[in-house]
Amino acid sequence: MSIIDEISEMLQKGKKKVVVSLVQQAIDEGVDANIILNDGLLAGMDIIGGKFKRNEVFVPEVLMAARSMNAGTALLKPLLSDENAKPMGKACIGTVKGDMHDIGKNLVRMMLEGKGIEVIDLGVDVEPEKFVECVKNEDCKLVCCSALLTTTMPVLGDVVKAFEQAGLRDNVKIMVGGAPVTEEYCVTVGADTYTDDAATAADAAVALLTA
Amino acid sequence: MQTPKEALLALYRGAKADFIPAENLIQKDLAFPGERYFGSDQKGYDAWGVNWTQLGPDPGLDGSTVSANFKLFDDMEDWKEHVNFPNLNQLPVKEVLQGQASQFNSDEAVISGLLLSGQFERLNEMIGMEDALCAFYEYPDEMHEYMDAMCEYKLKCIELTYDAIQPDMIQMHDDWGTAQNMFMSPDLWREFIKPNEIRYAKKIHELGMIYEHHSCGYIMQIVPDLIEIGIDVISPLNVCNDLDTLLESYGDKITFKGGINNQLLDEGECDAIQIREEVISKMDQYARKGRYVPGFIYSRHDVLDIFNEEVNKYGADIFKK
Repeated sequence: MSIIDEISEMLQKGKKKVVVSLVQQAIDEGVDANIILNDGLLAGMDIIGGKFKRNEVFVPEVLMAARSMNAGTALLKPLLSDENAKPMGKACIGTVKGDMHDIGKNLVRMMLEGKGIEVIDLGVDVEPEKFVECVKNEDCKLVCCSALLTTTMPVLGDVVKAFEQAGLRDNVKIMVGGAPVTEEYCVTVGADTYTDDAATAADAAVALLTA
Repeated sequence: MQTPKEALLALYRGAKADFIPAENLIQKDLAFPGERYFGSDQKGYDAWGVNWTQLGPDPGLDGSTVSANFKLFDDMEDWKEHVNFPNLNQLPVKEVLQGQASQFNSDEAVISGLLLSGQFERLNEMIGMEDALCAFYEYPDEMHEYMDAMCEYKLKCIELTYDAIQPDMIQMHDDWGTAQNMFMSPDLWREFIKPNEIRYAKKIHELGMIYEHHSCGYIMQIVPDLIEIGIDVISPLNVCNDLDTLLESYGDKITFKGGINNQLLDEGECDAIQIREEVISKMDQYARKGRYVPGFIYSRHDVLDIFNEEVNKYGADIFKK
């Protein structure tokens, strides 16, 4: 097994220390940092995302893989060429105003990062205007917002309206998610995309950013 | 003819019930102190040092959540330095429980000792969900130590609850599921959590009480384990679980409380007709398949009132239909 395949496999097993050690070994052996990133770390994350989507692994396994990926990526960052160090795109993410749930939002963040997307995490209880402000300041092309309560679902619509009022609606794609949210609700509030799990959200994000 | 209390207890024990009453009106959950902040400010600390934010003026209805960005500590490796179990000799257990019990007639009400924040919930309240879930892999030895200590604490809470109010049942909370799957794999759950549950069930049954466990989310894989443990009632069995299959396979072994589409009833536009239709359709679908009690987590009194009225109305003759 090549060292790149080994990195991918150890990442899937959530072996952070081993991943860090293997990434360092690969760097020392002169392997291109972009290959380590794309074919080792991100490829491993892609596999674990697929397994999560198929209910073959659970949240802890995804978290452990994501932590391994982040540790490995940190070693690579100074070595990545400017062109290849560029993220696929930039997104901001948050749980909407009045809602403190963060695990689903964090999973989506990790899955997006696993696809090479730069993610600005606005946290929980985020005002619609904060999303707008972030897009203005950071030039994000994608906004991901979640609501885990039926009582906070309407705020997803407020986020869409806030972008309309700021005259920025055509500049961004808005993804919505969360346990009570549905495809139908996404259409009702005028958002662009709904997905019902974190791995699918990452695939959808890539599609939106590369369209 | 059974009284509503007798009918509900029969449903919980797997005995013959004459009818299905609205459990919300009969079962009274009396909360063990220390697990939440119920003060007049919007934010405050519980007995463990966890900071809570109340989500509305009525904490019982609106709920409360651990305050954003709160963490009691970072590293599970050091949990013994940071986790201060509430001193059960100093908590006003008797006063709090007996005070709540005095509001109800125990001849008519099913009295339930409510133990919030189970072992896994308490951990994620202290260190956040991500670190709590990763701790299964990162610090397995420490997790076992923590689970063992938590088990001893909860066993004492069960004993003290019994001493204070001799309830009909104990309801223990520990959420294990998301809307799509369990938080952790069944194997991790069996290694770290199931052994505690076996001890809780044994203690509760030794004291002659019924054991209801509350876990939101999808928990289909471990229902056989819950039966093996001896849990009598599992709630709120959200609709993400396949209750038809569960009742067909295990409907004579455990009581399933739930099955109501919580998100439908929570919707602002859900009207009385929809609420009544949901109750009737689910009772028709489940009640004669096995041990079933309609239930949901309510967030609006108006919805709850209609729900209770319809359960009592339709449930009165449900076993004669």
